[in-house]
Amino acid sequence: MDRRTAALLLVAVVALASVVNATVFAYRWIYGTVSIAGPEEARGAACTGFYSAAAQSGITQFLPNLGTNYDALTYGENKITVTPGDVVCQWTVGTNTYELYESIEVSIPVTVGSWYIQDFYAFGYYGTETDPEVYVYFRVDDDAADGGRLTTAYLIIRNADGDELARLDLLTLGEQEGPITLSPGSGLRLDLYLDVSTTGTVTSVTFKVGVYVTQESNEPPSL
Amino acid sequence: MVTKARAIYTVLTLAICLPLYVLNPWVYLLKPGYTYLVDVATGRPVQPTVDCVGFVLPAQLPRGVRVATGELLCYDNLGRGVFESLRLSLEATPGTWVYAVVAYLYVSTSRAGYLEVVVEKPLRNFSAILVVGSRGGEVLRVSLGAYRRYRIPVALGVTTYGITLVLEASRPTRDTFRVGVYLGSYL
Repeated sequence: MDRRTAALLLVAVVALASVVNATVFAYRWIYGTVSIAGPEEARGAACTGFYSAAAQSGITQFLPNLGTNYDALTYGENKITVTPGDVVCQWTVGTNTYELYESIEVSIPVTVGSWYIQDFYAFGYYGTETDPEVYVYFRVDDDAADGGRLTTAYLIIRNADGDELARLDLLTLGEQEGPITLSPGSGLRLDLYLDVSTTGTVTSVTFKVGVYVTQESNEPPSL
Repeated sequence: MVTKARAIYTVLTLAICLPLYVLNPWVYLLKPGYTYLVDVATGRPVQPTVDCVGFVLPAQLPRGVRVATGELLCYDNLGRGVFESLRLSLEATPGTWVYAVVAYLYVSTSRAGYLEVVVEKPLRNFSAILVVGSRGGEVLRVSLGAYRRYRIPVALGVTTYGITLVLEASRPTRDTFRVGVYLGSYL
């Protein structure tokens, strides 16, 4: 094989490879730019979150006096503990700064029997009169059925006057309640009803409730 | 031994092969052939296209999302424009945000094949996932936090996927990502 033949062969192979490649893929793409502003910029649905009026003195100027039992004793020296997550909404008046949290992790020590934990925390919406109403959904993302220790478990959602708005069965995965309409300056009281049986295999039960807030429409969350 | 002839041979070979190599990326930009019929009364496409692949915008974008579309390639079976690319801009505050259906991925193909979704530029400052769903539910969950390649089969005919974006940010920041979608067929 002389050099000219070898060179032609090489070019042919490269060209063929290109052509074969060309027939295989159609390429499309998404380029995204995401800007995350600070929690002090939050408005509308962004300015909803968990709070306790007892833990943030002065917040009752803006939101109902709820979440008062966030550190209440249950039995003996055992008491409720609440660990808030990230701050999603923040505002400052004078020298006081107020915050709403994205999530809360709640630990409630109880004994066998029925328990009603009233107003252990609150979910509120800070805003002005010009801000829109928002729609809130509660959904059981992880149920409390593990181990069969709880025979009844409800998260009960009430307004500031104590009227029951929704009752979420924590033993049923995917159960959803809503929409509950919130206007700026309003809040929801969170209660828990538990019935703990003497049987069962575990000493602690966990569950996760997702709170989905939208101001665009009253469509339930689809994910 | 380096001779003049060998040097010329090498230079010539490189001169021919190098452009082919460089031009190779263009193969990804080649548009697959597509055709559609137009309603003479309305002037709008009325038939599904063949080998029409790209992004379709929803009737209403989620709040806080702006989109600039790339080149118009063809039309979907509802007469909506199918675009080659999307440039998304999202403005949010700390928290978890679900942007339900920022776009649809429309695939009309005359050959069964597969979709490869490739995270080509991942996010560094916060986490996010892209959820690809169809009528049957969620078909793919793409983490935008790392370079990775995902593959799902694509049936012959028309499939429309909804693209939902879930962001989880805990502090103010700014970041960019790029996701490539390759439609391949088995030769």
